[in-house]
Amino acid sequence: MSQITLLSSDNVEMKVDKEVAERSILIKNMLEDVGETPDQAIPIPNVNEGVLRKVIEWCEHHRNDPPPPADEDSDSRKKSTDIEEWDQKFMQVDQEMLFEIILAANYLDIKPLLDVGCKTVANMIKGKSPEEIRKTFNIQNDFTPEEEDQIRRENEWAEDR
Amino acid sequence: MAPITTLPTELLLQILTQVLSSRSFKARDVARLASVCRRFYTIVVKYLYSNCDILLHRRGGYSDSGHVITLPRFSNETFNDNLANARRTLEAYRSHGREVRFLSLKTTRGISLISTPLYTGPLKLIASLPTFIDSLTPTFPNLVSLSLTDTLQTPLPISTFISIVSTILTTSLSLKHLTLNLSTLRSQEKFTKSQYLLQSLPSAITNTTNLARLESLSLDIHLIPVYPTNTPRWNRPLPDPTTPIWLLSSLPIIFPQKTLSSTKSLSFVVTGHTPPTTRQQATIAGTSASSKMDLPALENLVLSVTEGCPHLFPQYISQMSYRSISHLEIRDTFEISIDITTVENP
Repeated sequence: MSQITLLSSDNVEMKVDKEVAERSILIKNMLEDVGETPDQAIPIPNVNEGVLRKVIEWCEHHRNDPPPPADEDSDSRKKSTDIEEWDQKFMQVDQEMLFEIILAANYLDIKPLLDVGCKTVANMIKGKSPEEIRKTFNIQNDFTPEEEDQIRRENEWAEDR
Repeated sequence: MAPITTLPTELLLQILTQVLSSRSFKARDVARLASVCRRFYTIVVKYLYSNCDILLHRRGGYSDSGHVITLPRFSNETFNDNLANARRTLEAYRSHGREVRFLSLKTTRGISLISTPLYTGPLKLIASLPTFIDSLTPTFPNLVSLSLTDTLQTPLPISTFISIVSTILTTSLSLKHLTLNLSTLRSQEKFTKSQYLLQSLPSAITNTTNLARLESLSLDIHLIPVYPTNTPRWNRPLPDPTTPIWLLSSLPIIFPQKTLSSTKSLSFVVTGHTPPTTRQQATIAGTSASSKMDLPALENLVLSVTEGCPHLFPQYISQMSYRSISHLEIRDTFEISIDITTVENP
């Protein structure tokens, strides 16, 4: 099994199986462009060591997953926020790490990981009041009372059900 | 700073889409989500209003009695919810008109058939399709795609058809993709008479300065014969086979040059007619070079018309229009004669 080396943004080298690293479409395309397994470490300038280790852990676990269905916008994928158990545990990290993972998955082009990340955040939002959502994510309410009123009026169509 | 608000818009949109499209999401949750902060508000609005899907439920028999509209948006809404909220939802779309990119209008079956328990509240009614479109498109200044589908095949008079097209082209200037799937009445008139009819139409576009420039145009037109009411069924004459040709030859008038100058994809499908018995029948006089359509950017062409129409197609589309075609699809036709030698890259 051939291995490649990744270099995190904070200059830490990590050896990974090529097959695992290729869960990232960005890395896969890069390796295809080069043509052969490179001797030098591949720099991943946007991702630090901690996050990169986490991402690699996910790729290791999912190394044998079948490729995602071609129909990317299938309704079932969009509407279901079910997450398999291992992924749920994997995503039990602090918020900063969670968003770092999402950003890294987006940058490295690992769609299934990005999906799991977004679903995890979506599940944290669902069923909560605006105040609860703000508290959960430490968001400042930047509306004036008049604007809040305006939003309520705009959405009156949905109120009396 | 809250880490969630540092995410780029596309990722936050992906997250909130998960929330908004989940089965448990209720319409009333929209306001909750939108009132969290400005960032959330912008994204919720983008999600909610980018697609405007309107269903037109035909009342009674034919189109004269108008349509009841609904705008279903959430999978857990009942049909009665949709009926009750149509007016407000439509108003909400209008006030967020700048966000609307995709508009779809689709006719469907009459409401009394599917509403249980029977809905008794106020209904949002529209009397005429052209007027309704005219009232909608100016409020959607960033519209990219418009699709109008009549699943009921309600026959529209050809003048109404032309009036709908000119309304769309003159009021929706940002439009790039137009799909029309309609039925129109085919009359027993001869070609020359139809041509005269077209020229006399007040609705044909006169102002050529402000028009949508279409990248793709798809016309799927079902023609329905009109017979004089006093003619018994067994005594009716065969429908005039030149009607689809007439439709084809009128395209340069219905769709002005400016609208089609950047069109890459054209699909022209006409159904509901009988093939001509002789070639003469499929050949019509009175066409001039000036009525030819120029499609300099055309890459994809789909044709499905019998009655010698493909045979005549080159008469109405200029030679230069074939130069950049990379995909040509001819369906269900018995005759085609496009001079391939004029195509540089077949």
